[in-house]
Amino acid sequence: MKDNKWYAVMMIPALLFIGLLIYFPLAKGVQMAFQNYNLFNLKDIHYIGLENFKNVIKSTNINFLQVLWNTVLWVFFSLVFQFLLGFLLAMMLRKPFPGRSVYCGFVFYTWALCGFAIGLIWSWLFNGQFGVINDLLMKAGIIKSNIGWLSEPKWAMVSVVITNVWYGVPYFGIMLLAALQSVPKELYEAATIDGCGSVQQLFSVTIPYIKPTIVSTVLLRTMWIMNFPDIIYAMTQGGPVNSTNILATSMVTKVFTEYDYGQGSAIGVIIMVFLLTYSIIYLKVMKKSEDDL
Amino acid sequence: MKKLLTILVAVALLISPVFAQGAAEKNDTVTLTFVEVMTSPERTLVLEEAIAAFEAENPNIKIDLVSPPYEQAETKLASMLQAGQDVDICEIRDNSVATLINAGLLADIGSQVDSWGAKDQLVEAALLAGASMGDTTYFIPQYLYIKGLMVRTDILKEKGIALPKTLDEFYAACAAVADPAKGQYSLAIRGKGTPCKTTDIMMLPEVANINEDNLYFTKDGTFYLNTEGGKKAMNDYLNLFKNSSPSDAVNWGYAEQINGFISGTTPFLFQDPDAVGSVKDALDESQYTVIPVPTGASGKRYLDYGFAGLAVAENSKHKEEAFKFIQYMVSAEVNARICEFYGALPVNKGAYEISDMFSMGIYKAWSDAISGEDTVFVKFPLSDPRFTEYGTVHMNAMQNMLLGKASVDDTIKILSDFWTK
Repeated sequence: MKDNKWYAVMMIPALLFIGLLIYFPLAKGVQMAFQNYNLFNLKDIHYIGLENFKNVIKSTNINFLQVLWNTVLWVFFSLVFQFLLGFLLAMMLRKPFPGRSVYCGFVFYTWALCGFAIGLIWSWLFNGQFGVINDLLMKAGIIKSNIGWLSEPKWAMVSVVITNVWYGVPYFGIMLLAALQSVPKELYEAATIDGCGSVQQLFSVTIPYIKPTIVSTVLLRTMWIMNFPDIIYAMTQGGPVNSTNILATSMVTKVFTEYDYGQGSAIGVIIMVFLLTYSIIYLKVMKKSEDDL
Repeated sequence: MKKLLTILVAVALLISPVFAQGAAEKNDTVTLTFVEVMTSPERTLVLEEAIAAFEAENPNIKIDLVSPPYEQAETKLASMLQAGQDVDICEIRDNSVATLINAGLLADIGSQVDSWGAKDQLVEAALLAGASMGDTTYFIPQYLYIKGLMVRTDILKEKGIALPKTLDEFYAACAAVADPAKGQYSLAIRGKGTPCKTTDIMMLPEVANINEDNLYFTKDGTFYLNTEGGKKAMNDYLNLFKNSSPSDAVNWGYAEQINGFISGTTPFLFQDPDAVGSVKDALDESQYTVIPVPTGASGKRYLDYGFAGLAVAENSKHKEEAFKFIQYMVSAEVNARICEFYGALPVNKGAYEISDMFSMGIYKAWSDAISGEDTVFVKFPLSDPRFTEYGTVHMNAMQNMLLGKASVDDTIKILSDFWTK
């Protein structure tokens, strides 16, 4: 009994730390979503029920349905290509070769860069008038005139997704490489004796073995991509005409450009609800497929 | 004995800061916290230099400079003030100063400004800017941003095109200089990042009787684009984009505009004076100049005086000293020194006499425009909470029109409805 009390006392600093730094701002954000909280009128902060949510959803300027669809496209394509290329990278780096650690350093460095800086660099590469990408494609004879990568709505989303893929591949590369290196050699030897080819080994040995890593990295990365406005904001500010505007960029615009913390928080709450629902469904599906094995 | 000595030393060490504090108070040293918002590493160095000189002149005042990263600086300042942290002097900007005033976070410095004799020392536009938020004076502008038309004279000379004085001449010059097949265009239009601040200044001259307190309306209360002149201005702008502007400019912000101007792809550029700072290292002075914004059918050019300035925090315990520092920062010499580095126009009349940079050459266009009879200074509705949202509404509507997805009339209707409904 005495010990239990002592444990409880020992936990107070940690609980205070988590409470103050995580749950208090979270609760404050949720509270603001239901308030008229605009920097223009800080003297008149009051509860307005669901008004902020209604304004965000009904706004003709944001076009909520388009923003939702853009968010789905942005998350899905970024995640799929980051995962596939990251997995490929990890497979290629799995076996030792001379200079592998230096090579890994070069390959993984993009992960260390700031998202906003990456957006600025790629916005110059994709620039329709002065960009290197158009120049290279012209010289290779693939295109005959400049493509407005960031100025034409049909290309803008493709461009920002490519940039995000470039940025995120190393994350999957690092995490999956670590997992791959932990697969015991004996399993492959046994599989070979049983007559498994390399493709069958991949699906029957490698992937099942590293599945816990895959599940957690995909879950985390989905959340990060959905909450990641930096690249889009630096490249297009959500334009042209909302074609790259996702929930996270519209939240940034609401807070930093329009100073409307109430509506910005409402978008934040919407993101949170989506991610929570997604996480629950995703983990249940993964658990079910694990139980079925 | 040894123990006693140790205790004495420990006690002495413990209470020494108390004495130090007492001594400091005796010396009446005041420490002021100054939060800058337009942070850049180079500019911070210039500010630190000015602060060091101020501290040398005023040994009883110390300035603590807080430099939050540029992107978050304004919200950081607002939250510091809101949380009641020790802030004495704040740098403010035209776009967001109303948020601080409405929240009662800035002090009324009207009486100090009057007794200092600001009217004799500051240029007209600075006085207008200082008075732009109602009857009470909350800040003194430090720099002014007034639009001018930057022109690549070398390219125009090569094609034998004269510098335009009116908008019709300007559009004719654009048509004459452009040769899209050879990669030669005319104007570096602004597609993203509050393009209204450029397009409005370009379009307003076509409309007569603009309300000086809110440039979006004429004096009889009509939304300015809902007039014949307004529609003509929108059509001219769209035609210019279609015929002689790079299609990629739909997504151009400041950096792309500057790049287009430096490379000569777009030899015309409507910009604020600080753009000279970005251009001067890449181009020789013989290659470009700045001329006043062309006048339109109204015979006028309507210019807004964008500004950044300094204010005293309402919570400051040292308002007098804070104002003394502000006075120092906008004194002729300091104002000239900071603006020379930054490229924006000084507010102090004396700065124009001290500094050659602002009285001759490329800056002459701005001083001519400021004092010109055909110039009317007008205000964006900065204290209207809708103005911040208008930036994105306008950007989307204009991008839609430029991409051919909305007509001129539909675009005007969206913008007009925003302000009138």
